[in-house]
Formats: sequence, C-alpha cells, structure tokens
Amino acid sequence: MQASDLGKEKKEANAVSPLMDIKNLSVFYGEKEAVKNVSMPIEGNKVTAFIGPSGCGKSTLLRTINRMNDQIDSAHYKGEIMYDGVNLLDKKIDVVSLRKEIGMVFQEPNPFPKPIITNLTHALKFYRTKKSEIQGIVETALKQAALWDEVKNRLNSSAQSLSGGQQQRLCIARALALKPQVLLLDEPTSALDPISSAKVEDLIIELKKHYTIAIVTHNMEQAARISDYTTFMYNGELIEYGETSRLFTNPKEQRTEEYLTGKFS
Amino acid sequence: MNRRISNNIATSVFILCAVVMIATLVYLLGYILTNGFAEIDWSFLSSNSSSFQEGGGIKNQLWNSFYILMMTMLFSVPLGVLGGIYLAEYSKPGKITNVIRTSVEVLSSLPSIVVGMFGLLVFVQYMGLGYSIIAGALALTVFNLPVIVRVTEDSIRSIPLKQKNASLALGITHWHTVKTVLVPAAFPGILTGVILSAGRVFGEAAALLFTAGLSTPNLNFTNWNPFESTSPLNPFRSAETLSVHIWKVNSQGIMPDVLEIANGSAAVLIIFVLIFNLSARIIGGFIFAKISGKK
Repeated sequence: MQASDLGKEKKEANAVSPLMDIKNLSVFYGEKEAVKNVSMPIEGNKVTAFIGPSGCGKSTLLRTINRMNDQIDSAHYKGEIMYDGVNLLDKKIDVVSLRKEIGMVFQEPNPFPKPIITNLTHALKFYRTKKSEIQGIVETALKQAALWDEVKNRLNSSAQSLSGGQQQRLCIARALALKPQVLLLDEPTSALDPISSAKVEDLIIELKKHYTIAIVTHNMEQAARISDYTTFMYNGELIEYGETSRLFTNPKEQRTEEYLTGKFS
Repeated sequence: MNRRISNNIATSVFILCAVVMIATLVYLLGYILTNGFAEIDWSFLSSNSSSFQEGGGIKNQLWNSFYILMMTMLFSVPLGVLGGIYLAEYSKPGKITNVIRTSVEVLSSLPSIVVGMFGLLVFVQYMGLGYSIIAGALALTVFNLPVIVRVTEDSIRSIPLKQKNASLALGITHWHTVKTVLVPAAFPGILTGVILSAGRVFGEAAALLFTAGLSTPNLNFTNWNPFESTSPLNPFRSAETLSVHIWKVNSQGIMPDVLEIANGSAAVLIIFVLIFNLSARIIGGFIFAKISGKK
C-alpha cells in the first residue's frame, strides 16, 4: 500500500488524530525482518483487528507495542510508535510503566497458579495500591470482565480450577485492574471453545467503550464481528488497512480479496 | 505372534530390572536396620563414645553431624539458590555463562575425597582454620553448592514462560517477577532438592576426614558459649561426624563391641537420611498445594 493511500484511509477513518500512530515500523529478529515498514494509526476507543496468515508478523507487531519483544535478545526495531507525544520504541522509555498503561492478554490463558484473588492483586500490590481500594478494584475488574457472578463466592479457589474461558476472562480482568489505556489481545480466543469465545467477543465489544483495543486474530469472522478497523498483513508487510465494513465488503488490494475469499491462508 | 512375544519379553525385562533394584534396596535397608535396631536405645544415643571399653554411644557424633549439616546449609543454600536464579534468569548466553556452567558441572562431579584434600589445603592449612567444624562445613559447601545451583536453575527453568510473560505484561519489574512468581512456583522443587542434598551431606564422610577431623574434644553440653573450647557450638573445634565415626570404628576400633557400634551408627544414619527423603516429598507437596490455592 502506498503512503498516499494510507493518508486517505486515515481521513476516511477519523478526522481527529489517532491515539497511537505507528510510523515506518520494522521489527527484526537478528537478520530476519518480521515486520516491514508498517505505518498505521490505532484509533482511540475502537477495536483494531490484525489479520493475516500465520507468520505474517501480526503478533510481532502487537508485542512490539508493549515492548514484550524486548525479552528476545536478537529483537531490534526501526521506526516509531507515537503515543501521547512519545515514541514507545525510545530506549529511554520505562517499559515497566509502559506495560502498566498498555495491557496484554495472551493466546493461551496464563493465570498464575494461585488463588483467583491473588491473580488480580499481584500487580496491585506491586504498585502499592491502598488496601481499602483493592477490594473495589477487584470487584470492578471482575465485573467488567463478566466473571464476577461466576467467581464471587470462590475468590480463594485456585485459578486453575476455572474453565479455559473463565481463565481467559480472568486474565482480561487482571489486565483491567490496572486501568490501562490500551488492551492488546493476542489471539485471545484461539484456545477456547465456541461458547467461551462468544463470551470473550461480547466482552471485547463491551470494553471498547472505555478502552482502546488491538486484537490479533486468526479468525476472519471474528475480526468482522467485533472490530472497527482491520489491518491485513502478509509476509511482514501491511497490505491494507481500513474500516472493517469497507475492507471486508470492498477490499482495494487483490491480495486482501484473495485472502478473504480463502484463495490462500 | 512374533510381536506379542517381543512385547512380552520387553515387559518382563523391565519388570525384572525393577524387581532386582527393589530387592537390592530392601535387602540393604533390611540388613542395616535389623542389625542396627537392636543396638539403638536411649543410652546409645545419649552417651559419649569410648575408645577401649564396651558400651560407648554416639552422642557427640550425632550432634556434630547435625551441626555441620546446619552450617553447610547456611553457606550453600543462599549462595546456591542465588546462583541458580542468576543462571536461570539473568545470565546472558555467552562465554562467561558457559564457564560458570562448566565449573558447576565439574564441581558436582568431583570425587568427595578430592574435595576433602582441597579442603585440607585451602581451609585447614592455608586459611589456618585447622581441623574444625567450619573447615568441614566449607568443604561440604564446595561439595553441595553445585547440587543446589543445579536444582534451583532447573526448577526455575521448568516454570512455563507464559507465567513470566503474564507478570511482565502487567508492568511488573523483572526482579519482582522473579521474587513473586518464579521463585514461589519453583519453591517446592528447590526445597525438595535442598532436603535431598541434606541427606547426602549428612552421610558424607570422605570430605570430612581431612577437614573436620577424626576426633571430638570433650564436650560440655551445659556450656553453649560458642567461643569456649568445650562448647558444642564452638565452630573452631574438631568434630567427628556419624559417618566418619562408622569408618573410624570399623577400620581402627579396638573396643570389643566394634560391630555393634558400627551397626547401630549405620542404622541411625540411614534412619535420618530416610527421614530427610520422606519429609522432602511431604513438605514439597504440602507447600505446592498451599501456594496454588485450594482446589
């Protein structure tokens, strides 16, 4: 996609400046370029979906936003991710506070093997939240994650006694308890059964009222159902970005159309 | 038919190996315990050993064994656990890490008699500690450290990466993640390893021959001032442990009841090592259930 097209897309998307602006981002693992010169906005209080075949770089892009790729020694970046006037890829950025502000939920539910309540208080305690406030924050987060009614009577049970879908909602609640601005969801339903997936999808639609959400998904129907904007990536490149309804019904790029119609995957 | 036969043969071979193994163990334990049990009574455990006469006990030796064990653990557990955490979480792959890891491996395969000679040279003579509890404990630390480093590193590495990512993604520092997620999850494994290594240290003799010495001064169990020479707590006195006592009685003993003393001491030693092993399992399982919340 040409830079000029991207400009038009932006206007079509939103006249106000976006919450986050990814500019000419490239991500390398050693020599390998996993994300190639991607530029796109992430609009506030909207759901932005990333679709594309396995290995197209969509998860890498997502994990670059909260710098989880820093974990990998060989990973390095080019370009910028502008957010709130700062470049998130700046070496001086404190990744710890960055990750507090930009929460992440992973593909596989990963609650701590501890009581349900401890899963939520783990980070709160680290940030020295007042004891009197913790109870309220826990309850709000669990309610936002639509899990409160199912667990309110067994907050001290092990998180591993929950079903996969409940565990994933617990992980979302755990991220919400920190009151983040942005939620990054990395294929959050791919390890769940259809009913649990549907619950998580409903939850995402509900959450976008208060949060900005970026979701990587393997499931095109899911992207169509829940997202406002969709990015199609292929081979590390951004092929097309636009409003979900437009991109799915009237893709501009041939490769997008071929992917959406199942010509390749 | 052919496949069935080979399958049956394989099964039988495995069962046979298991039977041979268990039978050896049961025979060994049974032999030591039945021979030794008759010798163990309160006076055997609570009286001093004698050099010539009949009826000596193992009070001092038992005390020395526990004292040296405690001191060894005091040195080796903090150092070993921190070293294991370093190797699992902080070391970057490269030359230095390889050198450290190879050193740990070499250290763990050193014969204990060599560790004893090393202790004699470095702790007893060069550092001037003489035959003493502290020299013995330092030698056993050399012997025990690699085990603890290895156990800690393995326990931490066995925790799924997704646990660590979960904590980091919540905006928690690496150190706090190590402290509150990784170490607690690895704790049952580390504890089991520590207790099992305690059994090994408790039964060690060769490394102590030249470091803690073959004799114990007359101890006054009413004097607990560690700076007095007759105090059981004095770390600078020589100390013969239970396993060294077994070796010494068997090789140089001239009292008439040598066999009874050796049998009794061996049984006591085995019983304590068994207690260490069993408690490692029980405590490890209990703590795991406790930190992971009720089911």
